[in-house]
Amino acid sequence: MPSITRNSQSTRAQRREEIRDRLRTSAEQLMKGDESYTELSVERIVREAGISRATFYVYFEDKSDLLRALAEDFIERILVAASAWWGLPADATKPDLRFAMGAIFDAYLPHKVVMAAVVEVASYDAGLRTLFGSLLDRTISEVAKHITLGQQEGFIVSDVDPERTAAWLTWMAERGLYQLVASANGPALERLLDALTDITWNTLYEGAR
Amino acid sequence: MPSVTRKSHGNRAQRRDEVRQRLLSVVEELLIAGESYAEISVERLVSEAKLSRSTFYVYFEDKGDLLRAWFAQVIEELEDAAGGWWKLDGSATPEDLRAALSQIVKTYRPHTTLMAALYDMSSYDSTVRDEVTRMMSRNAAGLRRHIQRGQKQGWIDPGLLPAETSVWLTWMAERGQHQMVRVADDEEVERLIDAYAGLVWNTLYAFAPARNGGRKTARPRK
Repeated sequence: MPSITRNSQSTRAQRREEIRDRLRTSAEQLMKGDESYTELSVERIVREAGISRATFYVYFEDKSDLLRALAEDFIERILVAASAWWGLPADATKPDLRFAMGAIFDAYLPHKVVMAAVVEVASYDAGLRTLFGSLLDRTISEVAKHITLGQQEGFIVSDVDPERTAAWLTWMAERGLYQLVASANGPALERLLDALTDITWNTLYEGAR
Repeated sequence: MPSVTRKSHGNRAQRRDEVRQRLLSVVEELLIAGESYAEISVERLVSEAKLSRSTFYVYFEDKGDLLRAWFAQVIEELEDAAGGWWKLDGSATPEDLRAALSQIVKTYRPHTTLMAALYDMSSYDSTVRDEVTRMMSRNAAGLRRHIQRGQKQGWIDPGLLPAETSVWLTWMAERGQHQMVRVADDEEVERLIDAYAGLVWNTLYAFAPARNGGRKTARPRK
């Protein structure tokens, strides 16, 4: 009967998601315990997740495949947080921008180990490099869209090149989060947030205010 | 005799440079062909460069040593280029800034392939990582002093935090070179430099008190 089939299909899909989630969480947990992703074994991950090794390979091709899933989740979270910036209205103030940038820091920091693993593994895994590149391209095009819209509506200066300025800003954020923000806390973190806000504000908005 | 010793030292250094150049050309070819530095063996390197394995080890401890020797030289070139930016003062125009930044980008550009290998290596080799970090700190410190001087003299936005602004901008430059300039053709490089110079100009100089009276009157509101 069709309804039963649909039902069992959705249960299977649910279970599938559940196990994928469990594996992702376990891998991230182990990485937080200071293990480098290269040294982390599938054995350790499945033990932490409480599933069998065979089950692991039903859901992921290999450890790199799992990291790709983690990287996608990670960028998705950053994109959601960053949409607060792209959604800023025409009359937004510098404190509004700072608040939006702060949301990006907040999305990044709890999962910084994923980013560290991506950087580590991308040095020898071309597939991961490509995936990360395409995720970054998505981010850049969102920023570029925001700049173009701001220029049309007059709240962003008209003489910046939307696409390339977006690319410089995005790469600055990507590397700065990894190199600077990930290891900062307290007042140092606040100052980094101030500086990122000022750079973005002066580059795009100040001249249109 | 002292003079003989010096001469033979000179020869050795010269020979080392030659060997390094030959090996690095091979490395560059292999990298451009899509291989990663981690995967290229010393055997492979020497055979492609038509050198013996023992010659390699006369001059270099290991594969990392080869890249580190090259890096030391590039750092100097880059610092010279960066000096052209840091010496700008209140009389500088957007065109002056663009020329200075263009000089930095174009000094770096021929080295981007090997630089990429170096960054890859820094993810697993702590010596290389320390050297990259040292280079970045030196660059950021140069920019920080430039910002502080400009703030004191009124031609850089006084509201900016000098140290933090410098580190963000320094990583932006590094990452942009690595990710964008490396794969861009000549025309695209010019457009990337335009955007880079525009961004730096707006961030640091455009809203300084000495320019158009600073924030309030920097640009008319649209």
